[in-house]
Amino acid sequence: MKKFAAMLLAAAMVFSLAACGAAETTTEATPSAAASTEGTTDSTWNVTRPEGLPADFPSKEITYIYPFGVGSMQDVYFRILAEKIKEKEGWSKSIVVKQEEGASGDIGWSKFIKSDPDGYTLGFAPTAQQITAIAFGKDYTAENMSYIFNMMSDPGAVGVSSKSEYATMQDLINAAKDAPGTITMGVTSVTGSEGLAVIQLENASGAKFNVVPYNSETEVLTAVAGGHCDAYCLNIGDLTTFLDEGSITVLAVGSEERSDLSPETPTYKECGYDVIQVNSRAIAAPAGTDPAIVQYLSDCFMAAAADPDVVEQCKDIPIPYDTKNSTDTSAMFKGYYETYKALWDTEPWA
Amino acid sequence: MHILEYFGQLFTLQNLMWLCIGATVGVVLGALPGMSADTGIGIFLPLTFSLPPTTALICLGAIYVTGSYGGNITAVLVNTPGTSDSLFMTLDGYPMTLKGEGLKAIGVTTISAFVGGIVGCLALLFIAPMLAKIAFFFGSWELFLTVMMGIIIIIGLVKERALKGLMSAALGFLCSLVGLDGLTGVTRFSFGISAIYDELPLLPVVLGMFAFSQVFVLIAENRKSIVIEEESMKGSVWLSLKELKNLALETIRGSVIGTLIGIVPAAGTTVAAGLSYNLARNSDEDPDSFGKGNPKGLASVSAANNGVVGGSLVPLLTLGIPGNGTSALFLAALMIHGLAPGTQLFTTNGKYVYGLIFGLILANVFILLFGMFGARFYAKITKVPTSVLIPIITVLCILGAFSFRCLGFDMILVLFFGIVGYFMDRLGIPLAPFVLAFVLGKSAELNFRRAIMLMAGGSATSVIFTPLSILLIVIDVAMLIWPFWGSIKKLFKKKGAQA
Repeated sequence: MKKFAAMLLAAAMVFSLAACGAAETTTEATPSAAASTEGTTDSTWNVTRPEGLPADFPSKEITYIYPFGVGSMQDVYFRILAEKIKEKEGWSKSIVVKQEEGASGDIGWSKFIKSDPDGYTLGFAPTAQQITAIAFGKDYTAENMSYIFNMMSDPGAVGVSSKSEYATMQDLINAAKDAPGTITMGVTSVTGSEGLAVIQLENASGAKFNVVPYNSETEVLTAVAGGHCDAYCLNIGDLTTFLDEGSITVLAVGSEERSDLSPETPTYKECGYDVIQVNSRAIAAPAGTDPAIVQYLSDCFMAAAADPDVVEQCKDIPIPYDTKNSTDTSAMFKGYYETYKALWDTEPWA
Repeated sequence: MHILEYFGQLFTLQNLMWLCIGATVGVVLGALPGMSADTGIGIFLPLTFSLPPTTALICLGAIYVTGSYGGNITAVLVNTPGTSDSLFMTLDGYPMTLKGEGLKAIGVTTISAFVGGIVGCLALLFIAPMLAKIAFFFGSWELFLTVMMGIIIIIGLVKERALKGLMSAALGFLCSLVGLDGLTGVTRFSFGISAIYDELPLLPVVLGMFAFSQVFVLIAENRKSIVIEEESMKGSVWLSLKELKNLALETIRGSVIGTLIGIVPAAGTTVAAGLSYNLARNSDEDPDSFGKGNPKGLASVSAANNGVVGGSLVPLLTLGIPGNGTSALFLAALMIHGLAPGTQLFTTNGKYVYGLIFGLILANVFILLFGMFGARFYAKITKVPTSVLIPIITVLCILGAFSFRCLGFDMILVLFFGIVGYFMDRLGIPLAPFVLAFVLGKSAELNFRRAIMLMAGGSATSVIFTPLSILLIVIDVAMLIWPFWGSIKKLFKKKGAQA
């Protein structure tokens, strides 16, 4: 019996090793079942392999480095797209999601930018990556990337509790102008795009907020809904549940144009504050990747995003879509980089 | 009777199959150091995309419930908390095992975990929409006062060895300061090591302090097996009616505390278990027997631990506020299946939610079966010669620490804290205050500083003196005084006699 128990323990150990392998986070991107594939003819799928693309691409698994935890909107959406591409293009290899968490994304991004630009390593490239690169002098700046595809752009949003006395963006800003430092503004990070947007809004209006950072979006919203904090500055994609429930309102959004997720809300610019706050989430490869591969992958992701099955599967996820191909994504991120670089040069935030 | 109809719908082959898969995965991952319900839900989330929503939620729910129980067994038998949540189980559970009462300890922890889980689920089933609003009342100041309850427990824990206990707690606080300061974005005490840029990771530290240090203790004492006394395993896993009656109060109280604390965002299992343990000890006739293998202590923490599961889902399902990290993953699962949290989840989408809740209840029944019928089998572990056990625990600890973030540095951490833990143990410095302070320190600090920031607008009194915060302050003060009430009374009597 002793022997048996010992064997059992040894088995547990082996299992733990195996489970560790799994938790080393190479989970294959297989979200959708075969269920969604039935009966679609390729009417919308229009991808041609560009000239110069290696004939056997992809001849091995493509790794996608994702430096945050599983389960967020952009993680789910990416897995759905990747699976669709594999199916429609008839690849024998998959795009594998590799989680490399830690140091607010820096560990994953540093690994990503150092990898071979052979088209077999992709990475998650959001606006926050540029902010981190500038503040910490890292080399994953927009110039060192070949952007492939932009999944979504989540506009910033400023709002208050539905019981609040402030009915418009101007009310809120003016209150913070008349009594500087008394209006509390909840954000998730003073060094992220939200904290920086508050600085930009202050610069544009002459107001002064008491900025209070919380650990997560829901913590900020809970505090605002409960009347503990006066206002919030987050992204509009974070607000859905609380807006539906009616405990908060949104006063203004940070995109250039009004957002489809809240079409009646004015932009910061319409309210008279020349500030753009958008959290874009893109897919990129390190600079130097074969342009043919970038072109091909860009076409694949564009086609997958337009695929009716994918659209159907995502209809209940509140995704702030902003589908952009390689060239447009590149231009957009170079713009973000310039803006934040300019802000850093005049007002370093870290 | 809509609710009962939903209950009937639950019993399809597919649902039950995924329930069993989820429950088994949960128990195994919960028991393995480094793995937890989070790991299980993370791995299974993509796999459940293709399942119908009810089935997917049942599977993930089962992982959550059994995952928070799985660690109890290893904590009780080999002092290795499978998850940091089960660290309180080691306080009374492991001493019971040392006395040869391992079987009984499993019985106690299983039954009280079952009761706690069921109470949490019933709250979720019947009064979730009413309870949910509680979450809104807790601002930073209230959260700080709640976390303080967990920290005040330290004082009770170290009563006889106050100086050493406070040293241990101070060290724990110091370690909790390492890493990114969430309020300013500045990193503290990381010495340029990028692996601890964010924070000292919880699990390697807890594993090192509790489990790995125990390995050194076993080696140093040259023991043949974990059980100290020579006689064979005493008792049975089935408790007598009298024993059950004895534990009833602690179990029910723990369940209710667990459920309520679970609702409060960010307070979590540690506070719930600690609070329940403290109440159980202070209200007992013989508080000194706690920490030395008192089944009441074990029952109170096990019940609270599993009560948190149901509680944490209350604000999640009704308001979309995750009470802890695991339920945040649950939020993702709901969204993927197109189920937005909110009151409509209980009306128009009732069949999914009630399916989930009944699934959680069945998963608790699974715990009962798994624990009670498997106990004899697991308890064999304590008779395994240490020459076999030590290498296995060592490897499990190191692997567990590694698999948490898959960073090699974490293996060094577990070794380091194992050595620190061993020497603290040898010097008679209790380890529990260190771990409590470490786990709760950051939350206490951030909420306190945040509360101060919120007061900066000039309305300090309106932040400090809300009705809820006054209630919490009263509880905090009462908890501070309670352990010393006897001595204080004596002091006054003496003065009276002298005068």
